[in-house]
Amino acid sequence: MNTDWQTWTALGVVIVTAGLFVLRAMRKKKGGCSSCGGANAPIPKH
Amino acid sequence: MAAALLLSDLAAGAGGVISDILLGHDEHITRLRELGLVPGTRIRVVRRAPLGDPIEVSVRGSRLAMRRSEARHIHITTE
Amino acid sequence: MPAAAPASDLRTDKATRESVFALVGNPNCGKSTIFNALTGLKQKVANYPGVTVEKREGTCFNQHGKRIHLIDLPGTYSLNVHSPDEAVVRDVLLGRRADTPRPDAVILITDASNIERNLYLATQVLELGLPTLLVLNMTDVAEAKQWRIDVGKLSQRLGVSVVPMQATFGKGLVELKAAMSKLGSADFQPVSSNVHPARPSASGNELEARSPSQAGSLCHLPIPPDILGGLQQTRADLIRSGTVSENVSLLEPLYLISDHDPAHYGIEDSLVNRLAAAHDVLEKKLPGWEDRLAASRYEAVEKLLLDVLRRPERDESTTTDRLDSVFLHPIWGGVCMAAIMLAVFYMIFSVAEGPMDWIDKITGSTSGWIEANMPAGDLRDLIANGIIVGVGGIVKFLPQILMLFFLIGMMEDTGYMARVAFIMDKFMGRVGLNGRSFVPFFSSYACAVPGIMATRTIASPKDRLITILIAPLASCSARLPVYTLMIAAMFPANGVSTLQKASLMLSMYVLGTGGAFAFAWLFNSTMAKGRSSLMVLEMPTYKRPSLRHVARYMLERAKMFLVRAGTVILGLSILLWAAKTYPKPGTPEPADTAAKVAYRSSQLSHSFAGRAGHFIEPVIKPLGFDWKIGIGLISSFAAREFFVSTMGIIYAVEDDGDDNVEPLKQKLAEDRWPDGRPIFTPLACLSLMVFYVFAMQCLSTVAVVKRETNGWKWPIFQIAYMTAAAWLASFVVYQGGRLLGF
Repeated sequence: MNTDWQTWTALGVVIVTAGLFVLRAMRKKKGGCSSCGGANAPIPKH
Repeated sequence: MAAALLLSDLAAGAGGVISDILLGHDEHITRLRELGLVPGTRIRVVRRAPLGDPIEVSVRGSRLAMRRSEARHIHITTE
Repeated sequence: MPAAAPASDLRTDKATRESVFALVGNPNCGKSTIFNALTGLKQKVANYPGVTVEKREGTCFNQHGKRIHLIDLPGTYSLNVHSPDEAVVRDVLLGRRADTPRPDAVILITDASNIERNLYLATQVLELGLPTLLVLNMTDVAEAKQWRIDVGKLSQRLGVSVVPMQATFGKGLVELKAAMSKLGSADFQPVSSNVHPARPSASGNELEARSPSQAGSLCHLPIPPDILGGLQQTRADLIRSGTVSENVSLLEPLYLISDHDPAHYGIEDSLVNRLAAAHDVLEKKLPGWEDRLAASRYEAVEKLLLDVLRRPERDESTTTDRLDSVFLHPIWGGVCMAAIMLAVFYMIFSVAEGPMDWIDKITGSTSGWIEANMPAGDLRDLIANGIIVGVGGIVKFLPQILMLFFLIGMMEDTGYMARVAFIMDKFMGRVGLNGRSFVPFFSSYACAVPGIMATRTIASPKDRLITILIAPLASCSARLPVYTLMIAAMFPANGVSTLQKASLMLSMYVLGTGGAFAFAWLFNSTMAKGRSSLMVLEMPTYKRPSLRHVARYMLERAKMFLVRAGTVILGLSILLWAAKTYPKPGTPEPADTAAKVAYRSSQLSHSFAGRAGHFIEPVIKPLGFDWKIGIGLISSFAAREFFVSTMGIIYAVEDDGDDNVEPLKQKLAEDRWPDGRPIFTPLACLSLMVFYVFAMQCLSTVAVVKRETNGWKWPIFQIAYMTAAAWLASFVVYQGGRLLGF
């Protein structure tokens, strides 16, 4: 069937997108704030 | 004759020498003094904003705008 | 002295590594113009982690073809920090940041026409002992004021090379590069670093070790002896308590204990209290030491300038004065500002209109082309109706955004922005904001995205946050299609004059503005965090704008929006498409056009979005909305104007690609509640318009707020409060209207 692969690909794209959103939200919660980088990390003294 | 005034009382064009700055918050006062407003500095009111507040002052050759509520803490002596 | 070259751990092998130069200077000194001139296109912009302080880096080549890494540090008046961006300057110069190497040399940029204040920062930077080069920028402005600066003497007294420049005209760039080559070469040892390197012997007594020949020079004069002694004691105490490491210079404790930034950015939380205690100890011993330190620095600058600067007894009337006598005139000032703001709006709407239509057409024809050339199926639908229409609907606003950035950039670059802030300060002050908030808020009437991105010029973090929070309440151009449709649906007969329609439209703008000010006032009086900061604003001299600089600003912002917001928008467009598509009905789509339209309508009402519409119906019914409007509300979360197209699908109106609302209007007027009452009564239309005035339905804005506030906290708060306000306002309108018998 011609439309079959489209159905599955579209579904795949949606699931991957949703997965990425969930993954990003999870990673944020777990590791404090991943995008804050070194802001809360101790500042090395020389 | 020297007269003690507040910066906020000066009319546009008038000036004097800063005698003291009495601002409650030290956070505020540090910024003012770092912009060159230390006792002994000449200061002149250039103009008022069209709505009457803030005022523009000339100090050490640069121009600053501040609210009158802030200028009220700056004491001036005029000659 | 052995430590002539600052010994940083980050420096491994000087020969193999490119040297790092930092650009330091006051705000408005032309620093970014010089940075752009030096680096050209070889630069990148990012944020310092955790704060919205821009990290600008670039590379340039010196005269010998050696690569130099340039860091453009934020503009600052002092190393005594008041805000996170100033903290970045302090920490980079002291080598306290893990993500940025301590610079090998500093290019200190000063505004010649404000030399006295600019040299204050110079006294602090020169003390650090890094090889330094002083740029005396805007010498033309100083000349216009009839100021004569003896460059040779200044250089001799400061012990550093001084390069006069007029960066706006590209003058002095060659000389600057030559001086940079000299500074970067190994055999060059600046006088100042011999006197007191910032990475000193363990005693920290380096400031006392002055050679007599330099006693009169500026770079090590300004710390009075008793304060110096006090600071040495503080340093020793801080080392003993383990707050700072042993080989810290004397100056690092000085700038750490006089950190006045409420957030204490760049300082470990555990150290803040210890540093505050050390500050109090010193304050008790030497009351007012910070005042005296500042005063003694200015005294040193004054003394230095006696020889170096000759200026007329009275201020000469400059071009800036003459311009200000018009632009800040009690009457003409307001008139000029109104005219300029009107011109800004005219340009945004008229000039951006053409490109916006093109983008619309391109979006339409691309998805049309895909539908024509791809076999029918879900993927085709996802690409054509999900991704292209979704992303296109937002990219459509790019011309407006670019135009606004261009005009905001022009106002900043010419110096007019500070005048707008000066004029509007009292007005904005009524609701607790300051004059700097005006242009960002005003811009939001076109589009909140550039408005929110323009809030970076607001120095006070609290005022900036409040401005960001209220900006989307300004009725942006994406609301216009919704207002237009609802006004059309409200007056089915043609007996209503254009004037009435226009005044209804206008009242929506008034409502949004009133709401914005009310919320600004509310937030200002309830948010305890972040004391209102001093509204001291520098009034820079007027400058001829540099088109290149403004164009760069515009493109940079646009890129930031597209890259950062773009990924979120793309992702959510896909999800929204999924919500409107799944679960799929069992039957395949019919080929016949009329049946297809009906099929799509039924499919949408059975999709997740449709079910969500049904689900929220009880909540929105008191506002006069049924589940179909609910679907419209949900889908317009992507962007408000999608409401119209979604309603088109639900009501099975064939999309002819035109902006004609007539067919949809007819269908809306015919729709009935189950009990036979019409749904789109004038009151329900009004209620819906009011809902759109307040509701935060814009993905791009959410994405930008997230970026500008560094997290999801504030965008989520914003969605919550705006949705609550929208619901409440609509409720009052609808139920109030019904009580009054409408």
